[in-house]
Amino acid sequence: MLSLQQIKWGFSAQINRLAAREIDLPVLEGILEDFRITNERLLVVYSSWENLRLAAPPNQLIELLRSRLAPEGCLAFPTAPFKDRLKDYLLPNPVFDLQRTPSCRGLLTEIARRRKDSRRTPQPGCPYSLIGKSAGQYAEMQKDLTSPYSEDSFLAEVHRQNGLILTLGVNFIWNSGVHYAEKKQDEKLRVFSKERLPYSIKNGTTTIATESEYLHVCQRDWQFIHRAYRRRPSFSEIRRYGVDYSCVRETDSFAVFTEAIDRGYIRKCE
Amino acid sequence: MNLLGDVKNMNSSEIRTEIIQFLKQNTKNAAALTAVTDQTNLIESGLLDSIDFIGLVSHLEMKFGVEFDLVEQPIEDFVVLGSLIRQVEGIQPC
Repeated sequence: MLSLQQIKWGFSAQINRLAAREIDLPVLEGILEDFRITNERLLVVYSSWENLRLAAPPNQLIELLRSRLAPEGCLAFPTAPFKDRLKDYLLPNPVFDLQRTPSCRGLLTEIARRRKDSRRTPQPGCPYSLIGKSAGQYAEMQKDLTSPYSEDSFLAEVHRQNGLILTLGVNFIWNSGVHYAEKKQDEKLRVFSKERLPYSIKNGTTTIATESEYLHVCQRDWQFIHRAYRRRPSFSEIRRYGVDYSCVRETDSFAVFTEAIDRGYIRKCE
Repeated sequence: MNLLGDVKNMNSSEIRTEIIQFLKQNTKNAAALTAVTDQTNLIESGLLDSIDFIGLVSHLEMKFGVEFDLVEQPIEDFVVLGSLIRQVEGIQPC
């Protein structure tokens, strides 16, 4: 027999399902049109599968996004193996397996990671699964494995190439580019640990032992950051059928984060 | 432990027990657990979010030595409890 709590739960779940309109792929295609996303060299996607409520398989969405790349372009999904903090993850799990360690950044990212044509960047603090012609080149770029945000990291390359940051079903606060900006300003912020954690990267039969710095908790004023984003020419945001979407060029995003750090809107938590 | 040997002898009730055990440890909606049937969609029911669902899939792959094709197969084959059990049963350990 169902308890009152179970009946209430079942009822509210049913109401939520009825209220939540599923989004068709053409709606999403229209949003990419509105954002003028076409012929991209580097497209970095942050997403929430639940929030998207897409009436299509995840891989079809990946194919749609891929169709917006330039011939030599690359599609990137964050595939960090932890939910909260790198330190808490690496201490009990000191081996990061590029081929097997699952993504903790949602269903879409895990599907991207599992595709046969995807390649994963090697640093466990901020790995990306990459799809497209230049995926292999970017995945092998990072030699300094002691920092997720080193100058040869994938995020640094996104910055150099002024890649496009797209958020689907989430807003701009999911953009990990903020950590790259924080790393660049670490003399001021002092949020990266001097202590390094030992770990190994496993790729097929090869295992490399190394160590990684990690990020202390930062306080970020997202209201200030949102206002600053709105002043940037490349920033667009849309809410359609209750779902949030945004896009911004990395250099604009970086400038916003740098301003926030300069003015104390991003700072180390004491 | 001979993991693959265990897998070959796994029946649907053992697979179900393993999944329910995972749900008990990871669900954010314990109230929904007692109403679980083979038709329950593990994400839509609020039992798991998509991140914990990936955790379950990875756990089953490790435990039973199988590899699911999440890319090509419909996701419904994995998010509905009864279908998920059939997937584990139907895949030979790799």
